[in-house]
Amino acid sequence: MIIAEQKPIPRIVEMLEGHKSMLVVGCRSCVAICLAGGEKEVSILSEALRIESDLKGNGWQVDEVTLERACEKEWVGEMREKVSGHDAIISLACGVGAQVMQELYPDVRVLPGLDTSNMGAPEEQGIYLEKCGGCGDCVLHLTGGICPIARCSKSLLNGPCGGSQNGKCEIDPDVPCGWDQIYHSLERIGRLDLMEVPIPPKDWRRSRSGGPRKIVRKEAVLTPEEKSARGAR
Amino acid sequence: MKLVALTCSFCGYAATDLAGLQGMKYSSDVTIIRLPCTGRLDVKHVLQAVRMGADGVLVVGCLEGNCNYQYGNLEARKRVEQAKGIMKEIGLEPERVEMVNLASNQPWRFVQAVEDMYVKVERMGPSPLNKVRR
Amino acid sequence: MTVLTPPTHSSIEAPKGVAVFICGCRGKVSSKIRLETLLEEALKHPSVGSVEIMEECCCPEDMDRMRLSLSTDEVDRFLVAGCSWHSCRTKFEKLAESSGLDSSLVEVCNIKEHCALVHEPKQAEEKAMRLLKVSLARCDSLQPTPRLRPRTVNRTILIIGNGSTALTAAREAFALGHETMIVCPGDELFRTGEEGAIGLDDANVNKFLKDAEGKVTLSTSSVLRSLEGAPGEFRAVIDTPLGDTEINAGAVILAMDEEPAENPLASIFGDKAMTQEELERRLNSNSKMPGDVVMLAMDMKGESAFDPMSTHEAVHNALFLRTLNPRTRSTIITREVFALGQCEAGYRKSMEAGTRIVRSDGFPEVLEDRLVVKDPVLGEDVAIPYDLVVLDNVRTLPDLEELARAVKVPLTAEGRLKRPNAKLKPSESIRPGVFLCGTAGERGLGIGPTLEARSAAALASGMLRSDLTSGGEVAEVWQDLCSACLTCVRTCPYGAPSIGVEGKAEIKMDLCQGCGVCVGICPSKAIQMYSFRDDQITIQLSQALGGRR
Repeated sequence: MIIAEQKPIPRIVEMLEGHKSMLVVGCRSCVAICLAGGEKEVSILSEALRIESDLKGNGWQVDEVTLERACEKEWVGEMREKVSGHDAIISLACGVGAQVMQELYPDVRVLPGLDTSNMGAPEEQGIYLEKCGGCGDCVLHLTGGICPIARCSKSLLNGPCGGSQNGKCEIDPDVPCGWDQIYHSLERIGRLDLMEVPIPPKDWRRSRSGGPRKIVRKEAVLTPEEKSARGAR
Repeated sequence: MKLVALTCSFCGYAATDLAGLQGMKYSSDVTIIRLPCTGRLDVKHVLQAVRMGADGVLVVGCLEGNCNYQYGNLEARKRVEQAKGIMKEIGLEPERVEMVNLASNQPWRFVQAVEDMYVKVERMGPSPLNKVRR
Repeated sequence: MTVLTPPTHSSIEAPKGVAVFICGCRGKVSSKIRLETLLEEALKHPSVGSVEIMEECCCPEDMDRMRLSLSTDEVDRFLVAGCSWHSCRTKFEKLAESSGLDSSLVEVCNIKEHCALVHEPKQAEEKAMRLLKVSLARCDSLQPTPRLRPRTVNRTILIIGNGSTALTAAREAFALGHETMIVCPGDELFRTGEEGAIGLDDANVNKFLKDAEGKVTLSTSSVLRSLEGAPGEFRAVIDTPLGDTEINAGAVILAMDEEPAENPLASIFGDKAMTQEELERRLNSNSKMPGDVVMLAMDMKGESAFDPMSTHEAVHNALFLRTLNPRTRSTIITREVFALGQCEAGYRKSMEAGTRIVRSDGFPEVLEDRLVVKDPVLGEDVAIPYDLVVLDNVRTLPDLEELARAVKVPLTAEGRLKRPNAKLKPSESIRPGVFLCGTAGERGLGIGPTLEARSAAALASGMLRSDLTSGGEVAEVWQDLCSACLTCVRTCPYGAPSIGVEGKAEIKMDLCQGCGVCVGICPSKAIQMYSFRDDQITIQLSQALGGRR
């Protein structure tokens, strides 16, 4: 899932300068699960902003709503009534959700309340670790199920480097070396031979270097006829 | 002065009762609101209390290790810390929110906690929110 | 079983009418607070139907008056402003039931302990007015809590145990009139010749099993596989040598004991060593004792790791020994004597009877006929001759992991069955209807296995005395809002939430104890407690702080 964390409240307050009426929008998907932007966080941030407003005499109107999934237009469309009358949306959804909101409500300024960080998983409740680099060309079958892009600090395809010491990465003694983990995983699987096979350079155009990536599933795309029939319904 | 004490239904509430039965004196400015366990506490409620004009908020739970529900009071402490952090971020004194752990037969600890909060608020002055509203 | 449908997130039915009773508590409240002012204040509240000033709400005459006032269709709930929620809540809930009202629609406003008894009249009255407003707001917001229909309980008690504690529990349960089934993982529950809890020996056990024929069944070499259901109606699957069987029981007692093991020090002393247990047996059978008996109440490192209560045992056995064999010299070598409670008296008597206690910070040097201890006070070596060395009883913890998983009771870090707060629930486990005794459980009040076993059986029996209802102040998931994030599943101390077939969290009402930890932590605000909803707490705060919203 997408891992994000809330911006410090003073940063959010700075962004709100010049606004009077704001809607704090949360999402029940990834950001709720990583405890950054669900309904609970929405209510806490809203209370904090109301106090801020009372303290400074800003006269802000702060309202709250939490969507099922802020990355889909239909769900985001459901808050149309709530949005009207507000001059800013504070998004506690991930960066994707914030953009969909801006697309659907082009007249309202959408402000990010979260810093969207990575694609990861909870190590345990409250601790989240990046797991996937989203490179668009997965090599997990060669690396013992451990992503070298996300979990090696240098994103080396053929590691480890000389900075790997006693299983830890040189950037921080608390960070495990991704390639050390890959080695041990391959050892457990009985495929240490894969360590000997160089992984060729990747086609980075499939990663972020090639502009925004678009995936088209032809069989799922609705035809103009289907769309118009649906529109008529 | 406006003080709120959110107590659990076990040691917390029982200690406030015992303070009464023993005729102890504490500020009448404190209003006691009962929760099932301090683990029910929501950070939102602490902030709401502050926004509504509380000069101080006390969360009163059982002694650590003695929670009637195993560790609700430990959960509560974490949430109180979170609330304090947010208070600091928005420029309010985090000391206006405190967690107290006590046993049902330690009413003086409740009385002391109210007294401490009272003294602290007197020193800090009323909540800045009450100042701007006046 | 039927469940009242949970109300939706926002549709709490408006109150029909609130009856308010203001209690003077025979002057304890009325001497400080003018009840009429409270009455006037209550009358201003829109939902209030009637207000009455009472002398003492908890006395039968006033209760009758209250019942009369409640017997009108215009009232569906009531508020008593008087003493603490703790002292009178049960009474008022019963009053509600006998008046045909829902017992969850009762609110108590504490104007005695929180006002009249602590504050001066003026402040007390001001505060009472404030508390009344808070309580009126809360009373309006109350809603019926869900309750499962009372169910007829199965009075059978299932006991899981491996030794004398299980037998003691069974004996007590039998005496209280319950059919009992003992499930024992080993091939024998009570080994012939074993000394068990007080009053149990072979003859005794055989007589009991004969008397209880048909009422107490013993299934050896059997393991509990799973335990479903609720207090009064548990379903247990038991793996027996004859295959899996399903047993219905009302209550379960976990009575696992630690198992005897050999003291590793025995090999050092060969046939000159015995354990405290063996010594007791010898003394009981009047065996002859040698001249110098040394009790070594420690492990190899000189710590009391084998048995924290070993010095307790040593002090008493030394007294016993000296009384029966005054010519025998008895010496206890240990780091520190723990003489707790009654043992303090035994300790003094033992010293008076001539027991010597030698302090040693480490394991003594062992020579052929004497032990050499470095005395920390004298700073010199002290040689103690021995003919017999008595060692601590050593017990090992049986592996409880499988059992713990089956009964859904967690283990402590050292692998014992976890207890709730022992002072509040001395013989219970974390799961309602599952009771705990036996030395393999987490240490409790230290009342000894016999008393613990009897207490567990008595509590189980008490629980099964009448039909049970469950529910009440429990937490409920509004599944439309649930993100299935597992936060409640991970946080609940009782394992009540799980992700159901719908792919959303659900909370088992029978396991929920109503603490609200999940409510406070749910990131999607999908969980609420019927009597402590978010909006209820908010409105109370608002009233407490002068009505700001």
